[in-house]
Amino acid sequence: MNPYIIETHGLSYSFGKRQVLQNLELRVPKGTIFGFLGPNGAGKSTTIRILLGLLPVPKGQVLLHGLDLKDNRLDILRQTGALIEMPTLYRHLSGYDNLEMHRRMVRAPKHRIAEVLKIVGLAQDAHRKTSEYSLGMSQRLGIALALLPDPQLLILDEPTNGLDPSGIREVRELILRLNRDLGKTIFLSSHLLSEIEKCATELAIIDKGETLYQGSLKQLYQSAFRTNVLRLETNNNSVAHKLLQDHQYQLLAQEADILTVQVKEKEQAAAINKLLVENGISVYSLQANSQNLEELFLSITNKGAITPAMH
Amino acid sequence: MNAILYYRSSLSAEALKLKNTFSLWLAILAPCALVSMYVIVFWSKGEHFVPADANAWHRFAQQNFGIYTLLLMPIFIALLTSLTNGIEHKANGWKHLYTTPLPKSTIYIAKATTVVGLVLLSTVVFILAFLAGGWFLNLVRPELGFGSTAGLGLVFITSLKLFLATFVIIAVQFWLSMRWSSFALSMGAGVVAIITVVVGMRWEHMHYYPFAYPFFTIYTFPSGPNTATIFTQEVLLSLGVGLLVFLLGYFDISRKRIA
Repeated sequence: MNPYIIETHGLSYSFGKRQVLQNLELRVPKGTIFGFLGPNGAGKSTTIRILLGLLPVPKGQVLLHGLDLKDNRLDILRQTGALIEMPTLYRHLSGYDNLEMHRRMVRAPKHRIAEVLKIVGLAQDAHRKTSEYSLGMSQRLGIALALLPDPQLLILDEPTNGLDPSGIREVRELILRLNRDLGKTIFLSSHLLSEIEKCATELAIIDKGETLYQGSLKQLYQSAFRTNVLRLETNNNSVAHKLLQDHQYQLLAQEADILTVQVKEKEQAAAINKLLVENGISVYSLQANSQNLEELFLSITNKGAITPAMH
Repeated sequence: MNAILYYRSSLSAEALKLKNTFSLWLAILAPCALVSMYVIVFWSKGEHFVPADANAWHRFAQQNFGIYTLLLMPIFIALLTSLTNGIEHKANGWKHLYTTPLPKSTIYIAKATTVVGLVLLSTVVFILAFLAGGWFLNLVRPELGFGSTAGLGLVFITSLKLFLATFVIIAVQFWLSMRWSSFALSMGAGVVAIITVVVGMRWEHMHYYPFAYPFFTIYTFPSGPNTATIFTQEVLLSLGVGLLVFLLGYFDISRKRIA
């Protein structure tokens, strides 16, 4: 059985002379929340439009649900729900009517409307006009629309764009719930690493149309930690400095009251703490550099591929 | 079989989309507004419009048809199509429509049906308003001759012909408003249509000009030789050219990339 719900093989695309995608290889395993990460203009939206058949596939192959997109567009769309950036809402109609209209097009059973309203938590507001909806509610209604035909796969393009923190949280919790409770595979694009790392289990990072990293989030964390540093504040930095040097730790350029140590893995942080405390030094603070993933993301998208762990 | 199923789902969705929209109200109110203006005119100055031996219904219809074909209809259809397709542009709905499991052709045909249906609706409303107007005039000005229903059949036939003769205009405006979101473009095309028809009215080949088909349909009403024939040259041309424009429009739209 095919473990992948989305596969692209050598997908390339160009708008005129401008190459937007180059040999994109995506493998989205079933049942995951797959983060599709890249800075603005990296080709995320183009990829999503191709996946949904809005743009033609000029070169390469695209398979969704194991079917070739070229010959099975309607069959694929029948099993796929999508939300592309801002949802399409007819503002002169109520939330319920928007759902009813979409229901007629996808020919879902009538009871699905109440079900999806409940899933996204809009049952109370269903009969209000959507022009009165907040951005977060609109986005949730957009997800409800995508859920109507009960698809196995949801493709969400920047679903938290433009939302305030509570709106972002609402949508994120909904995404997690859809995956956990209903077993949906969710393909989630974002330019924000912080958003992806809060829900995705697998991810691909792309920039300038190329895959820079693809694999599990855990693996990415590990490779991130490899380049990480630990910042220490103690009651006696000079003694601590000497102690650490004696134990073969690599110290980086020193700031005023802070020691910066290069660490390779999490366990070293604990070991350093133990070493210092056992030698009678008070440790006031000990922090793994919090820029880690964000910086990693930037370094990946700026410099090019690191350890492209394809699998 | 599948195609019919697709078409029905798509059309019922389009119909729901019209709920609470201005285009639906426009289709109903525009003919009422036109007829009621002439009701007032005939009420106050009816004797100038209906000479002693003339059919009151025909004279009443002639006035309505004249203003409708020359001035109102090109604008009316431009408004109706661009408002209807504007619903989609405004909601950024094309990408959504094309990711539904419906063939693009079905979506296109359902939308076209909706717009043609709206014009048909306004034709029906026109006939009803026209009858109500005549009935009212018979109450307030019985001497004008609205008491007899003779000759009403010709008015119905001409209304139907007018609807069929606008088919090509609907097709052109439909394509324009689907292709471009600009309201001004549709209105501009409507205004150009009015001016060219008014200016070129006496040109010998004018009856081939699509925007002039409705005008030539009512040109000789009520006494011309072809007034009782439904499929006159203008009507056939309108249907033929209109169908062609609808087809070409589809090929253009279906190739468009959805960004």
